[in-house]
Amino acid sequence: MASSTTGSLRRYLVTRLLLVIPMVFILLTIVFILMRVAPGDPIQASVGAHLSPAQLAVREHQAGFDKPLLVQYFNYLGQVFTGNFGTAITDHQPVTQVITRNGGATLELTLAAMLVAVLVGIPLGLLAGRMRDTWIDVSSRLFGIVIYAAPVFFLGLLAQELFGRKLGWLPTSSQASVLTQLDIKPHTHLLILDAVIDGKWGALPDLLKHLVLPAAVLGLTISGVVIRLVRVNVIQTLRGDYIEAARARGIGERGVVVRHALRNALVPIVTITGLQAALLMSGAVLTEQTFNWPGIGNRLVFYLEARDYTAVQGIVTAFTLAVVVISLLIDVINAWIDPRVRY
Amino acid sequence: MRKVGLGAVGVAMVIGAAACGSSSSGGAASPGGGSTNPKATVVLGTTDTIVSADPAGSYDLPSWTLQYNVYQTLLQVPPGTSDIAASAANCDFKGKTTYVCNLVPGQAFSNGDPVTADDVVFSFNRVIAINSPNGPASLFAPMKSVTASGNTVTFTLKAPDATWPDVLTTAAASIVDQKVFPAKKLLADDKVVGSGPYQLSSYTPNQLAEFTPNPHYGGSAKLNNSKFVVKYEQDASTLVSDAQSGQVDIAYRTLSPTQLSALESSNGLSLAKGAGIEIRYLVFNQKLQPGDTAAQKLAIRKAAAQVIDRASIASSAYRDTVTPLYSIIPQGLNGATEALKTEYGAAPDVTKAKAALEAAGVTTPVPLTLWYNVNHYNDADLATELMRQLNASGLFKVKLQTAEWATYDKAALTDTYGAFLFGWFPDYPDADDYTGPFFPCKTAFLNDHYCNPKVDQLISAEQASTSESERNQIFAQMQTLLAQDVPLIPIWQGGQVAAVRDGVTGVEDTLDPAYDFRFWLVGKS
Amino acid sequence: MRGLRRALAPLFAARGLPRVLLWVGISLTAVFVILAVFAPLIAPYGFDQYAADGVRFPQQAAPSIHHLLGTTVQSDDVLSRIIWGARTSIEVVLLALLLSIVVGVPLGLVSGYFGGWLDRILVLINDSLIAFPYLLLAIVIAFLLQGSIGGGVATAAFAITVIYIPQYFRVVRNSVLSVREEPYVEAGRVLGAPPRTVIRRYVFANVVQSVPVLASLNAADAILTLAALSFLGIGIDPSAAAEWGYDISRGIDDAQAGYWWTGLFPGLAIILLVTGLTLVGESLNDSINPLLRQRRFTAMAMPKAGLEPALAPETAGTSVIKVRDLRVWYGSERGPVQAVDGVSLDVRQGEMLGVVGESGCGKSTLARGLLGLLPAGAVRDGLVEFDGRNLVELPSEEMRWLRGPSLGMVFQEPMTRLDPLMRVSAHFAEALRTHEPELSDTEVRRRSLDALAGMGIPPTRFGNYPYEFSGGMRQRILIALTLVLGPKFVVADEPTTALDVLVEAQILEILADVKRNFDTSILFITHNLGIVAEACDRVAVMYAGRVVEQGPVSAVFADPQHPYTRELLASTISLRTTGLRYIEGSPPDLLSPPSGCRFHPRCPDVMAVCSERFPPSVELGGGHPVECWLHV
Repeated sequence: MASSTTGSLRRYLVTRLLLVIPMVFILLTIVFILMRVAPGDPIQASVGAHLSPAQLAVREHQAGFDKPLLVQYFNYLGQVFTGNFGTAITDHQPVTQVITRNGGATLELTLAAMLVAVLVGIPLGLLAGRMRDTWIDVSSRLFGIVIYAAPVFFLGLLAQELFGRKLGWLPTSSQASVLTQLDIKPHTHLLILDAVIDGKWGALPDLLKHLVLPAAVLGLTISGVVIRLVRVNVIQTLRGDYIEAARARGIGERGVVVRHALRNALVPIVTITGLQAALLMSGAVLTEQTFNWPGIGNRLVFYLEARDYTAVQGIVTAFTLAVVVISLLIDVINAWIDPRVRY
Repeated sequence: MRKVGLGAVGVAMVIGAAACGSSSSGGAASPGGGSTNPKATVVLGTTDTIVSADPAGSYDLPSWTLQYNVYQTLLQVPPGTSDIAASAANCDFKGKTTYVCNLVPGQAFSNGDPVTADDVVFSFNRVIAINSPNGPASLFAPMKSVTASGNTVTFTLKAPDATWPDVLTTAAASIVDQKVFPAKKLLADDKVVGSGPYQLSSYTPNQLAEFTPNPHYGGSAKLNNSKFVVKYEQDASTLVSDAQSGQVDIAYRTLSPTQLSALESSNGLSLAKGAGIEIRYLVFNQKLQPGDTAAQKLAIRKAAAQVIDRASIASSAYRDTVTPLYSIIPQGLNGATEALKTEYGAAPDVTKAKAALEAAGVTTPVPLTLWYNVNHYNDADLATELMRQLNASGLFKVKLQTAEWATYDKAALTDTYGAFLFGWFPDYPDADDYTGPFFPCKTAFLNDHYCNPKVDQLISAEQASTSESERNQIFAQMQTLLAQDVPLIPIWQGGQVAAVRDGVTGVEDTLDPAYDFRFWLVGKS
Repeated sequence: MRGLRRALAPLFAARGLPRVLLWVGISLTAVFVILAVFAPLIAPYGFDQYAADGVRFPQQAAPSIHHLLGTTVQSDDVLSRIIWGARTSIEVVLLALLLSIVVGVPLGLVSGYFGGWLDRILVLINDSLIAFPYLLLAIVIAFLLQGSIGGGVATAAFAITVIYIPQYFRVVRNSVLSVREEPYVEAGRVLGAPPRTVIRRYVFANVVQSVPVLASLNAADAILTLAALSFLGIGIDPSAAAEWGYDISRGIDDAQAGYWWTGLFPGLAIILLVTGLTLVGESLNDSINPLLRQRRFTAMAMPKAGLEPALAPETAGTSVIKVRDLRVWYGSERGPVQAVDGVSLDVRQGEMLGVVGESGCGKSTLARGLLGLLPAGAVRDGLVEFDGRNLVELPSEEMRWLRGPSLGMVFQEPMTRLDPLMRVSAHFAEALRTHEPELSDTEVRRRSLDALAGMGIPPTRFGNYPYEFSGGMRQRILIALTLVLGPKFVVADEPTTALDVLVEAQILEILADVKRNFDTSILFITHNLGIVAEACDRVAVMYAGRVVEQGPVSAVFADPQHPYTRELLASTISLRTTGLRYIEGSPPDLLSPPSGCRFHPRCPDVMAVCSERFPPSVELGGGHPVECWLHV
């Protein structure tokens, strides 16, 4: 049984990539149906109250909203598959720009939050799993449960009141202060990265200070899930036969836990953490609103409220692709960690 | 000082009911008091969102605010007034349907191009040609054609229209550089070029807009700052904390009464107030509202109008940041009366209402579903107050329902809701803007099935007239009729409020019914 | 119904801190359920009541006697709104979960059972839905429904339902898939049972186990989703009912103005209820999930007077391991279990001692007991002398150092005994470096390759991962791993049971070689008498925690002295077997073994005294003790 890593890995990745197409198709269709069936349309929502019904009808006709649904559907599909995401009806922003600009900001926030979640969640979960049913375990679990139970916007409110208003240590809104933001050239819209690229080191403290509260709030919430996942997986892993065999060879507890248990537990943890991408996105929407973070989650809610079909569909497509890429990455990481996963 | 040629159409000085701001006399320049630093950067925070920096692509206040500072219009409303004065041109009616403007020489765009009459014609035709879905082309409906000759622009209207000069003060009528703006498409926001006091030097959509002085500006406005930044926030709560921490110097729109009081009591902040003509009213869809006959429906509407306690609403739902409104036309505009006060009295009268209902044979309590919206209008507290008042009278049994904006807007205007709350924001400070769109039998946007041919006649008459006193009379008649028919019940008119950091001046000077936030008036020490 | 009861039973078996957590969770949840159900009686005011006796309540007033938690901007009583909010939350969540289960579970069942195109399409749709951020999905649906049926409890419930249907679908479908391939389901199908019955009887029972956990965890999540929707303004219509998330959204304004009570208390309410529900769900998971379930071992004192110590065999030569009267017991859910109840034996240098017996006789516990690999809570007593020390009394850390270089163990299932993520070379490196840290890299490699070569594993495979080897090869690697440190005593716990006969023969040969070349003592546990006969020098026969007979293989097998040994031998199948013989009855329950001689219920030679008193150990000569009244 020779090892055939690259060949099957490539085939695996290709299969997964191909699955993207039907997934995107399904999501687009679902969103299309939901949006069109929901009452209202973007023109009505933005200027309906200014115009007479006749004028409104003219504009809706011009925009093609009175065409049969199927025609609109196929028109849109055609657009998407030629890579044209179009322009938002509500504010004339090219959707691709919206995606890169706001998507970049969300990426910055979610990456930082994920870092927090992992740095807090994995050690605590490890401790809890290893010292099962001790006070350490119980308090870690309780911490994880309670912090997840606190709604993100509530936690955000508390954080803002404490660290912003009362103590005045940290800013409570936006990605950067006004002057800093005007100063930075946004290449990636992950402003910290942009500052580094341009060598604007002086901007970093300001950017980092703005990132702390939202990332911490969102990250701690997610860490609640991570703690429990790591704990469960560590417990399950520690029951593994190879663990007992290692102990029988006199391997110390620390070696057993760190070398064997944690690494093996990581496989499902990495998978499930990656799947938290969807959870992270939802949490990001609320965090972005609470902290005025210029992210894509918030824009999506805005466009949803404005019934901006073009923008919503473009963003959903981009988001689906992002989720797929993330799960592909997860699978690649898994395949790298676990040599068995290379079917 | 309204220069409209055929007979003077004077204007009242505006003193807003809730205002304690100064009202300066005419002129565009209004220097703030005290020693301010002309090199200062002023930051304004707001929850408004921009639709477009291109005048052809927007019909909303936030976009117009940006455009007022970046472009010039032919005419303007000087701060603290609702007059019309010259801006880039001096204009006059020359005949009932001809309006002529002579450009003031020396105006230039920020890229150095001079402002020509051709640019003006281009700007107007462009708006109509593009007819953007959320654009202001409908404002130019009265115009038949526009031509340029030398330094003169001539508008030919389809019919006599006294409000045409008002249209020319709106940002829809901004002058754009024909060498830069495409004729059939909108221009990207960060590429816009205007001849106003500022240029848009940096723009991150929905986040920041930076305005620096237009080096080629040829107008008369004097700038009190050398940089003005607008920070667009998604939620008012972060706007409040930014104001409290000094991240923004001014917090303007849209703050709740609680938030305003929080800011007022914060260190280093105070409130600047100005008159406003934003209104809220309760609409009855006469096809769907309760009542079996037209007479019963009318009685029900009258009873509601009789029972509502506006003062109580203003205090408990708004902490007195709004004032009771007794006519569709708000106070401060020429021609405004308080017709509903005359008709129904200033205070609620339950007995009278009850009698009216009984006389019409209506069984009480009348079941009524009242719709309201939160994410666009933020009317939760208003609706709750109304419900409580109507229910407490014993004559109504009100159930509240809410829907988010896109649903609400569509449903309200397409025969779905029997009674709903709506608001209005003027395009320009003229009484016609509060009647023309609302009441004509055929074109009313409300679609509430109200039709009174007499009102239609009065509307046509006031639109055709150019005599202020004549128009005032017509409006007075109209308002009396409207108070008797009560197709809708006006509830409050709102002032403008901004939270201002100590040391920042000039904000009060620009909070007036024209709703043009003039960046150049703001100074910082 | 029975399945449900079975699912919930472990709840009440939880002990210690997890039990505390569970009951905290139940209490918290119960408090809110009570508030919800009895809201009209408990709440001081209505959820939107703004006045009493014609007097309007103050707006945004701080907590006071009349309004224990203060009032809101609309003059509503905060405490009342918390209580009514509980009702709203529980109503919405119950409705949402019910709908999700009613739709998701059957869909999962059908999809998993019938497979095919339907399954593939449903799975694709399901995965797409799961990939989509749930909040946005809920938002869109809320918009949709608000326009048609209004913003009441039903709308919020439907919006949330759609999010959770995919979860039930997936969990149930996976359950069905794993059960569908089980032999008993296959058997059911072959026997002609209709799919409905098969699903109902087998699949459903399994599914019912996982649904309560998912439901309680989903309930917790649903409350958060509802709060988020209301916070964004598209949850419950505020005029229809009180909702905590909405109150928090209004409370943010208030907090900035110093009115902290309007937002704080709804937030705390959410935290408490969600925490309660999650605790319940987690505890259920702890009990139900077989991978998490613990056999709770409580250390107990020896429950009853011990049996007489067994006689050690009189053997010549030095014993590497001397076991005298070893007892291992632990407390289980049902009571104390004496798995090893006084075992004495010796293993000499270079000798292979076979330990045989039926399942449940205590062989594996004996193996682990010798090496100190018992689970927490198990207690040992007695003497296990090795290298001049009593291993029973040795602290665990010292015991650890002995394992590897002095004591070794080979396990039963080779497929799972190597860390799947570590190469073989890493396994060796780990073992060698732990015990001989001063070794150089080359030394480590040389020794590892030598050990493997001894097992017939070529050096080219040194860097491979475990999954690249067959079962037999893995067992050989494991043996090499055990021997590379040169232990004097190795316990082999049924090392060939899971392997086929040819491989088995190879392994036995290897062990024989090891014994011969290195003088290693081996305790070989098995139920296969043939192996013992072939490979072992001595044999010990275990029954119900005692060694009933032990001695040289030749002596014991040629002329078994204990009836049990005799019956065991007689029931062995060989090429010459013509008829099946077996021992009547089944091994005794170690919780409450039979009185007197434990074999007496099944013994063909049973006498009256056998059921009354335990037989003493009798040495028959030549290191051949036996415990049977026949020889007393």
